[in-house]
Amino acid sequence: MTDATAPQPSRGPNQQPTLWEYISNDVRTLAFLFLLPTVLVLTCVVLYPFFYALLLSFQDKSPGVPARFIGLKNYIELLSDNEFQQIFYNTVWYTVVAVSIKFAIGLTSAMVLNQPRRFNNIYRTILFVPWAVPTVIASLIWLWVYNEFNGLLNLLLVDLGLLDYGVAWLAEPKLAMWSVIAVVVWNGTPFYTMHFLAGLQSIPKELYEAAEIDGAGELHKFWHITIPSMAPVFTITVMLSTVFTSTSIVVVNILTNGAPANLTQILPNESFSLTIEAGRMGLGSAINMMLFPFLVVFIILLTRRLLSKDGG
Amino acid sequence: MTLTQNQSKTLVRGVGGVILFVLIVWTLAPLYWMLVTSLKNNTEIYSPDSNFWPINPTLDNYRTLFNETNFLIYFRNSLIVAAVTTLLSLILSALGAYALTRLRFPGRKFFARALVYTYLMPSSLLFIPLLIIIRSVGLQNSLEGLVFAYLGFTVPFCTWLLMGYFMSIPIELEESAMIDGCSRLGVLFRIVLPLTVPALAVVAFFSFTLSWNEFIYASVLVADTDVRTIPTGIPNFIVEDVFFWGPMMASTLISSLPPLIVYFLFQRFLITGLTLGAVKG
Amino acid sequence: MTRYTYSRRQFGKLGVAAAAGLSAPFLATRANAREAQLVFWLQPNFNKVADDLLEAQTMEYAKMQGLNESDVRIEKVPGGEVAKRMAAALEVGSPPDVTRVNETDMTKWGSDGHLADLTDLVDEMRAREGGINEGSIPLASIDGGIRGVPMGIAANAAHVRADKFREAGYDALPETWEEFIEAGKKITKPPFYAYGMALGLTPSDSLGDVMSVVAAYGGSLVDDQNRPAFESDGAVEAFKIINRMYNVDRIIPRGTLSWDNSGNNKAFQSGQIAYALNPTSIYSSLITNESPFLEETILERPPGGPAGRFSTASTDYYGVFNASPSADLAKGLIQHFMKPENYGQFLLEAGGRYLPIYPAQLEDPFWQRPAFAGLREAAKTARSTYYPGTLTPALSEIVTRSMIVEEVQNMLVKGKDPAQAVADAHKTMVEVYTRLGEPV
Repeated sequence: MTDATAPQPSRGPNQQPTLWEYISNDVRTLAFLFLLPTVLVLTCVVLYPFFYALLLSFQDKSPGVPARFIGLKNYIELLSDNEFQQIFYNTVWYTVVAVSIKFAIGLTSAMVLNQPRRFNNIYRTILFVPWAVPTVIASLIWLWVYNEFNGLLNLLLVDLGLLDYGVAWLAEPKLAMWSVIAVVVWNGTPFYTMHFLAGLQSIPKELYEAAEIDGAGELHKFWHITIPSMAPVFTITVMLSTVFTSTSIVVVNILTNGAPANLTQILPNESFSLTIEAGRMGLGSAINMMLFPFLVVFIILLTRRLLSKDGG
Repeated sequence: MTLTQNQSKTLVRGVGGVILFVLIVWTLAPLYWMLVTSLKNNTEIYSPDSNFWPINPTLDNYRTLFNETNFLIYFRNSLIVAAVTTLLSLILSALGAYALTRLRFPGRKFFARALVYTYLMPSSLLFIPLLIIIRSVGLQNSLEGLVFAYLGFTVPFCTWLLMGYFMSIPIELEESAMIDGCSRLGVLFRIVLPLTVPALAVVAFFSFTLSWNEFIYASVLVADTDVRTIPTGIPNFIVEDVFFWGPMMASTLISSLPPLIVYFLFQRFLITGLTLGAVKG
Repeated sequence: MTRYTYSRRQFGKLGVAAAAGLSAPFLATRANAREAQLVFWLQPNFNKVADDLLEAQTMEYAKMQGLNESDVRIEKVPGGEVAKRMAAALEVGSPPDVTRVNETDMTKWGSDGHLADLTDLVDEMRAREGGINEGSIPLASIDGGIRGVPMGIAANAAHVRADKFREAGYDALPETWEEFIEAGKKITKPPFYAYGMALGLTPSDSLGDVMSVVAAYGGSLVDDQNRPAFESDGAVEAFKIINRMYNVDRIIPRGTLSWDNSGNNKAFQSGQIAYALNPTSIYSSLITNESPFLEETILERPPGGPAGRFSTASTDYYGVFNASPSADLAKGLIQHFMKPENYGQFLLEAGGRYLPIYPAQLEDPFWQRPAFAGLREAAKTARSTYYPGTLTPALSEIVTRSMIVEEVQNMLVKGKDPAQAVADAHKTMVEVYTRLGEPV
């Protein structure tokens, strides 16, 4: 926006450098032109909608009916609702657990793939595959794997004699959330593996060689070279993934839609159901707004990291 | 017990091998189950006996999928949306990233920061107002509307990734080219972009899969069958038919192919693209 | 100089491409101008023959009106998807011209002012020999007009696997829930279960199953003044029974808590349960799918209790939207569907999915089949799920958001005391009624 004041190219016929030459060599004009489309698009589909959402959260609005301003009533309704507290807690728990597991498996995979091994390219390709499988598709595949009567998991466990008959993975209170998380992990781990592997490969070999000359073992190298060198990669991956994991509704929506008894319900999906199924658009917006401050904390932490490199 | 360096190396490699095996099984098992189910007939799919491979393989499920469902329409729509979104994001983000990393102008830092903020704005928050906005510009129920909305998350991400990559290209190259009389644009197209191919590949891959994957916007911004995409079209099969798992697994298999193909095409760039770009904290 | 030309051309190309790409969306005019003149959302009935017939009748009507095939669009929208797609469609101002409307949606869309007045169509049907089933009219009468044409009465029938009950030593479905549980214990041999009770958080079937037990013990959702009346000894007793069936005697599959609307239908058809309460769409799809269980399936009323033995029925309507650009075509299509000969044929193909809205058609030999004896009996004694009150916008929200079933899940899963669950359900109801300004 600051660029609105940037000097505009004049169309004087006598001007020696042609218009094109002028534009293409004037830094400010060029920057303005290059950024204009992006700014326009993002204003329309991100910035404006955000403030609109904020406004909606103070309104009562049904689909196809004009909105009515109701002040803080949506927020009061949420805060006095026990279910909301439960769902809020679920969202935090789900995010923390899913991110931790993805982190652990992602790091393990990256380290294993970083070892010299024959056919490593093939292994790498295979382990990255779930990332290319769309989340909706992954959820549907797992819905079938979990099927109480004919799913792979139950057939396998019964066949091995570990179970007498199938378990309802998505309905048993103690299992449901873990089953949901397993799918999130399956689908999301490659994102970590990819970034961690890239991080591992950019650690200078000389560091390890020097440590080996000093007689360091594998564990010592891991703690004193790998982990510290990877710290920036860890931070960014975890923060990005936290935001995405906590706001993605697909897995929950398709696998359980919150059942049993809201034990697997998370805020964004609750907002989606309220808005789309019950037609309460204002309340749905308010739910998202309650999650937002927590995301902002992450975003601020993250941008600090990211932009520090910009300053350098 | 203390191990020598060589012993511990061997041990770590052995353990690594076992872990790798477990990870591969965990990764492939659901995909295998999808493939097998899509090739079974209904009797085998719903039989109480466990059979882990098709006894009489059949393509009936694929036939049902193509002849009796709207799958092909959804597939076509998804392809259009993902391809157009990818192309537009590449153009916008290459221009934007170059401006933000190489051109000095007031407000540069502000833009860079704002970009990251928009990137992290969750679509679960924006879909309600977007529904109203898209209608007011007359784009409801159209693939154009979806593309437009998708640019909201692909462009910031791609720009941000490319920024990281541009910064890893030594500025001296460009400076010497400019001393030789090359213009800014000449520098961008003849020096920067050719060096950026791996990152462009990564960016293309990410925006293709992100748009192929998108669920929330697709559920609310379009209502009609002829503009629905795969993520919102396929789950409908569940409620449309009683014995749907066969055709469903056939459809999930086919729907996974385009992103997989894009992945196989670009995968040799993925690690390099990430190494030099985004990950560089 | 050549260098400059090169970069300029490149820049120009890029600029043009970017501009074209960005403006393309805004140039798209077709988004507003709908191609089809008549859009019909067909909600599949799990019965391909009946769906095909509706499609054929639509095309037949279109032809009579001189429309091309491309002027008509028939969208198959599964029942569970309707609410979702309609919310978006209403907000973007492009609802279909004609769709089937269930009772909760009738109340919601009707009171939000989305549905057109169809009194003239209903009057025309009333004038036919034998008239129509007037019981379905009050619910659709909103703001001084009839907002939907009743198109069928869906009686909830207990689908019972007679063979399984016989093996357990019962000639018929037990008359009370207590006896049902005893029978269920003998029938249940995992992975086969006695009762496919819909308990998922998707509207419709789940509430029907819960209320079938609650009614037997004398509970109801609202009183005859339409005030919340859920908190009652009957409801508590019923919740205890449900809890026993799920947690103690375990005659209900564990997975029912995450079932969608079609869960009980699928489980019955794939032979995993001996009892399911559902509109007779299950029965009619057993016929179309030539199911091996068809012979052994009978239709019954649900078991009863101290308050009696009740079945429930609900009406489905055809509705036309005020936003429809071709309301006359839409009304004409409904008239075409409801012509006695077309309608009668649809009901036959639907295989008992709906009882006729024209009482005269009950005389058809089709309905005299022995399999339908239970259904006819059920229909005769059937009452609304919302008896003795009726649906209001507040109750409609409670049903759509599965607020009652949510408390049942709380009891089953989190060990909430049945009395507490009933009290909390009642409290939630009162909150919604208060917010919407309805009497409590």
